[in-house]
Amino acid sequence: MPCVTRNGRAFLFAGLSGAGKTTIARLAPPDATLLTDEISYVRKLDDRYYAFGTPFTGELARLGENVRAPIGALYLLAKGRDNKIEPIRPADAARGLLENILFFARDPELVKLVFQAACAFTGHVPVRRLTFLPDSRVWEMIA
Amino acid sequence: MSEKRYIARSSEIAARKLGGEMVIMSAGDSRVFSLNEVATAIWEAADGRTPLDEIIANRVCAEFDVAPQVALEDAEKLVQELASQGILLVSDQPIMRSYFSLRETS
Repeated sequence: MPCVTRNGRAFLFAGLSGAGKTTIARLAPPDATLLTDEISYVRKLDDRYYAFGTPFTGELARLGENVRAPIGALYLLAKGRDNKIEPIRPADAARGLLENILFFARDPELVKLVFQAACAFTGHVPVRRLTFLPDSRVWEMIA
Repeated sequence: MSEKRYIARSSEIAARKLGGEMVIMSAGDSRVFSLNEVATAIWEAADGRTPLDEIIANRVCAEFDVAPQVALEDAEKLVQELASQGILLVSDQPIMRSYFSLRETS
């Protein structure tokens, strides 16, 4: 799940393989900062969710900057014929995030905690569906 | 269709109602389910003590525009499906919490 900051806010991009995660990170404009193109790190601090840069690199092979920013939105990605942002139902937001959480523990109590943390996140942070053409104009819409 | 049926939520799940839909994660294998509004009403009423036909009459037919027989048949299918996924317990006897907790951890 890549994360990019722009104008002081962080944007997370989630999707299954092939949805465009690496593509959207690659298309980010020059004034954007890459926090990661692979594994995002998110924490809640003082009732606000922050994304932090991580050294985990994906296809772009670029280290994330060691900075943090409050999260502006999580976008669930899909490639399409035009650029559009649509609202999604809260249940789909939680499912979309859960599908993208890196989690290996098998302890049922930990699984429950991860689930509740994901639901709390999607209750606080705007989650939208972003369908896009693979060109840089998509970044005009991301805010 | 004469015997009473009782349903209870498994203790091996995490669930949260989001925008009117219940989202459920199976704690054992991390599978995620979401229920529509009617299924959510049944899920919330699955206390192990209220017979399914009473749940349908009080929580479904009273709140949604559906005939009792149709609602009960649909509910039977739903609870069988949820039971086969391991997130709901179904019995012809009231389900005591201590009983099914014991069973699930053994």
